[in-house]
Amino acid sequence: MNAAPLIEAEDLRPMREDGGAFEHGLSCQISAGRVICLVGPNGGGKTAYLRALAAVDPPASGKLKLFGQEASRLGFESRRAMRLKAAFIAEGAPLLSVVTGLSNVTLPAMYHRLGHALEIRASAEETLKFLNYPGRDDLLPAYLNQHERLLLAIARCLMLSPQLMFLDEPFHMTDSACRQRESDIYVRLARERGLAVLLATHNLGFVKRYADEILFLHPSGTARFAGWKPFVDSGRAEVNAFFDAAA
Amino acid sequence: MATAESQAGRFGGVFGWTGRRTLRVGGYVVDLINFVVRAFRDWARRGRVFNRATLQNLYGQVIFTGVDALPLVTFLGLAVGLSITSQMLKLATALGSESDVANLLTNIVGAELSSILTAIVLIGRSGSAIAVDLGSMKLRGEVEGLELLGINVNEFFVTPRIIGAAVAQFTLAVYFAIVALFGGVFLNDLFTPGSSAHQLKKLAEAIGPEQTILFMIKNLLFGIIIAGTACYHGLKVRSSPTELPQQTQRAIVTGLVLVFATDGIMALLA
Repeated sequence: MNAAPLIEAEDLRPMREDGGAFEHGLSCQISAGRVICLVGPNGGGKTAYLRALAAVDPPASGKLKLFGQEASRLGFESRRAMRLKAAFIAEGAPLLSVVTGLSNVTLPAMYHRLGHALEIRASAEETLKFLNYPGRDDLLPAYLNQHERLLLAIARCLMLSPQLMFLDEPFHMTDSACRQRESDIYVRLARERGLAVLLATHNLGFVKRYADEILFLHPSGTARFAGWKPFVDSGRAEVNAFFDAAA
Repeated sequence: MATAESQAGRFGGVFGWTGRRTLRVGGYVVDLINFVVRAFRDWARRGRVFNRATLQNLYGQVIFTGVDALPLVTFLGLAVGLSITSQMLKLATALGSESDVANLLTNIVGAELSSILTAIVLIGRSGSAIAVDLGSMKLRGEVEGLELLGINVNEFFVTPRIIGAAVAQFTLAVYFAIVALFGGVFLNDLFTPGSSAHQLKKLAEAIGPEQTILFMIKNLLFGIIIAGTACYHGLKVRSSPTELPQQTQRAIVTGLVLVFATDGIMALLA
């Protein structure tokens, strides 16, 4: 028996920065335990589509259901509750700069009163262990490298036990060794914890190895592929042009 | 005819400009009040109004705005005590109208100068710091990062800062008044030995309950205005770093204007 999809998008068109709509709509259904990659050339709108799918920004048109609920009809409290289940990490993984790494991880759980301070702290340490966090957690984010900041950002989302995780350019500014460790984490989150992980990325190595689905976003249209092979074998002109430009 | 028309046009232009400015100022004040009310509403919406995350922000604000400003406020209080209180007490001794001078001192130094000078210190120290702090967090995406974790920005950032600043403004103004009045009395005692006990008694008698309540309301309002304008402008920063100094400067100027306007209105009402 198939579980209900976590995301159902129908002809979803994000809003451009100038207030207009993207020309092409995106339709998809995303289920738990999958790794979905949004790829395409610069200007294709990866970030805009990712934010629209996560209900971070209201779309210009189209329908979006998250966890079976129409996103546009969510009230104040329902929207806040939904944010706990749909984690979003923006490019650069911004953390709160005035508190330490560990406080950044415990803060959302403290705010939402998910337990006593000691329990939350123990849970945070466990989460950092799961992520193989290599850095110090008593420093301010400014003294940490991008890989460490990203892991802390993932950890603070995991403290809220989300079912969906959206990441915008997560491999930005990290070296190849860190990229591999991060890739393993995304796959473990999907396979072991059952999260649906959606990434907007330029890292085609990751897409090739791990993507269960590919959402290809191009100025001339949007397309959905069930993995790397169908994507490469599609023979579509815009896909070939994308590979030529990437090479 | 043409001259009369151009004059009418010029006057019309002046009236139009004045009207537009007035509407803009009115709109701004309404927007600001709405911002503060919304912040308190979001804060009160939760069952237990403070949790560990927001309480930490409140403590931080009280320490930064209140405790850290103590040396400067002490210095200003002593300066006012020396320059105004002790001088007026000397005058009272010479003229023999001690009750009138005690009334004048509690009104001018105790109620007015202490509130206004403390507010100016807080606008310069804390108002600007809050605006820069929030503006920088907004620029770096930290504010959105928290919103995306279901954290209400008003509840987490704004309300603790407003409450902290209001408590700090009131406490510092009381402290300023004590230092300025009593410091002045003791300084005067250096020149006229043995007069301090009598003068302190007169000053204490001049403080009425109505004046005390008004003092409390005024200073809490000043704190709300200072932190409210700072948070409002800090969170107005969008994506360009050039907006940060612009909004900080607006927070300071608006804070000053609103504090003086409120003080004037309260003086009229009293």
